[in-house]
Amino acid sequence: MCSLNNSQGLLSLVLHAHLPFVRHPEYDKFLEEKWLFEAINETYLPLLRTFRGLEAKGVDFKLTMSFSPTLSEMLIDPFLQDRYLEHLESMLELAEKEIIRTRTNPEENKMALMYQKLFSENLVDFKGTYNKDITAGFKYFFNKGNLLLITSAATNAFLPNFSEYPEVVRAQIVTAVDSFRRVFSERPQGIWLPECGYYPGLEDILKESGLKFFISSAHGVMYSDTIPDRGVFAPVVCSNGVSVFPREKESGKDIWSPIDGYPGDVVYREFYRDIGFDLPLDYIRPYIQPDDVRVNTGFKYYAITGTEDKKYYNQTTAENKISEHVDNFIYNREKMIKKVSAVFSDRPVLFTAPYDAELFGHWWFEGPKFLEKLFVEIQKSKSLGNCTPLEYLEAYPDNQEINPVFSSWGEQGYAQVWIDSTNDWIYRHLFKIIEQMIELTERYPDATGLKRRALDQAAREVLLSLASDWPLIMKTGTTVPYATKRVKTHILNFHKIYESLSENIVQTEWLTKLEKKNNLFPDISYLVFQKI
Amino acid sequence: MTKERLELLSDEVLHNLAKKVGLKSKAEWSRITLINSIIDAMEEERSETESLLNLAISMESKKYSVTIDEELDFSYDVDEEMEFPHRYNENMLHFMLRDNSWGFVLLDIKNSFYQQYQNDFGDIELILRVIELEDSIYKKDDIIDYFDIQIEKVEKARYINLPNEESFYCVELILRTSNRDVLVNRSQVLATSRNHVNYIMGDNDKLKTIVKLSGFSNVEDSYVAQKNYNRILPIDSMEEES
Repeated sequence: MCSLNNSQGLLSLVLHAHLPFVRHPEYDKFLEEKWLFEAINETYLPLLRTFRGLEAKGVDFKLTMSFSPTLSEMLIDPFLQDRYLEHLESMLELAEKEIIRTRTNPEENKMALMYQKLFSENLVDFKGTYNKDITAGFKYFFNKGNLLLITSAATNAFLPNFSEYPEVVRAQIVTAVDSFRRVFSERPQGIWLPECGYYPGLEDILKESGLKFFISSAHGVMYSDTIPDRGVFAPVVCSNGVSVFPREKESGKDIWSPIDGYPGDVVYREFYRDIGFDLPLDYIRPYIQPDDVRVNTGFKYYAITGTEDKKYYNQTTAENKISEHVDNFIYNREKMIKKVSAVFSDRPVLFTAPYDAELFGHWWFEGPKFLEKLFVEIQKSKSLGNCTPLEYLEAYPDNQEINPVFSSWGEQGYAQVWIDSTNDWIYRHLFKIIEQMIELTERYPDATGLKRRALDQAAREVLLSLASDWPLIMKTGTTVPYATKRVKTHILNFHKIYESLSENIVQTEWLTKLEKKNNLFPDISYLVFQKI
Repeated sequence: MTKERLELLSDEVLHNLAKKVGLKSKAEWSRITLINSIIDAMEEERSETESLLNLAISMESKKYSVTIDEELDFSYDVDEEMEFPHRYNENMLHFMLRDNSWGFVLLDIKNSFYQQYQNDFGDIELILRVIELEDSIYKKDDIIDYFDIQIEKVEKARYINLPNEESFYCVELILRTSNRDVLVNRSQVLATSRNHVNYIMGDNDKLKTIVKLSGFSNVEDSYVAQKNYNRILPIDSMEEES
């Protein structure tokens, strides 16, 4: 096995896990909460099993995972934990019904049994192994040194859009760091900038919070004044000492590309065909939305194949394909190592490869198995090792100083996704509440009691309104009414608190209800928005 | 939204849906034709949207697609009472970067402020002045160039093309009276970045190779290709170029 010092190349996989804060105790069943349940079912729990599988095989894997604070706060929330359990039990019930329904169709039946196994394992892990708090599972591998956990901005705000207000950017970072410490009992040392959104000067705020590195888009580094001597194959360092790991494009393309990326192979499981849409309403009704809105159930029986003649999914064929793709992935990196080594050979070629965590399992069903196999094969490789950014920095602390430029990993590389005719209307209102929030910290520098509670909740509402998910959804066109409602609700909640404070009348009952609903960041201090 | 679900909807709702997906439904269409046309239009719209997105964003949006088309899920329609004010009646100016050559400006002017000048001076104009600067901090002496955009009082937002990469810009909101310009607000200064690798004459072959391996075009090619892209050259430098 290659070590940090004797390998020719190092793969630094980064999985970014994020979901916006979606918690609706006011409804019996809430459609958007399924984002979380599906991610737990198909990504987070399968990933933990992958890690345990690697541990059992004695594979010393190295992986970085960022958990957005909104996601980790949801994962430790007892209400959502119980709701997930209800969802899981309902999926198990559906699995049993499916096993009976498909008994005359061996191919479907095999799949129904596969889903029953998946959900049963999830139940055992969720209830038994992790006592409903799956962050414990990630913490275990974090403490063991296999997993480097890093943070992200508190509510996934696209930070360049708020560069005018360093108070907001600092509030996002400080709140994220505090949340990370509460959930994972350690200070984070690195950060995933939401959407890789960077603007010059951001590193100063990161450094204040003790963050040592962030991941950047490739052009964020390559378009700087100085071309990095090692290209995207080594980190660079900002003038204040914060390190930047640029994304390596080819390793990204192997997996991300919708044309020739591995997840699009015809033998893999099709994401878009789900019995939630295919089976008669009377049968599927208990497992979709109460108003008969059909939703994904997670039971998908087809392989990607063609559009006309869909073939049933075959697990064995898919598993063979995984081996092929892992070999190809390693081959491509080894090929690149040879080429890059002609330019520099004083240290290993680094491949920083970030992906959305939910790609693995939720969308690319075979993703967790791909990772498992990949780490097993890397362990055998004579030229390719794997490491976390922090380990790399320990082994190679001297890196070229470069000033990265404004960039993101969004469409066309800047802020086009988050400032667009479909969503630009939100900024007038967001800037207004930001200014009012800063004003409140000046007006009440040491509030206590009910006033303090109102101010802390005001801070939560501002943070929640800033999530980049809402303008993203408005732009991409999925669940637009929900995103619009969320932005408006948080802004109006803030205004209500602001006006109450101005009139010196805070409605305790309303405030308590809101605190219970939007209950993330329990230790937040509104003073986090203090003027810089 | 499946065909099955569409079939459950009333004719009136179907016609509204058709409008929503940009379809001009005709009275002579049968119910089946209408449903099929809606499905086709939705499919077309979806593929257009998807092709616009880059891979990471496309992946991210998949997290949010628990139904096939939530556009048609009316359960979370925004309450009427949640209408927002169009403006806050204040003097304000915000300047954000959309990319390396476009900025987005949000602006407003307080009614009483505007009224006062109108009473005193009669005809007044509102101007957005886009200023290019030498440095990241505004100083009069550091102004390289500027251009003015006349705007209507009702105009509250605008996308502005920023002529030069690798430069600094700020925006001023100006009230122009018959005899003077009154500065209402000045925005923060923002830097536009280059949209290509920074080619410097004499860069060595190794650097060129690493740039290419990093997934970027050959530095020389990219410099030539990008040089005049989105660029508006000042008149004096155009003469120099020729």
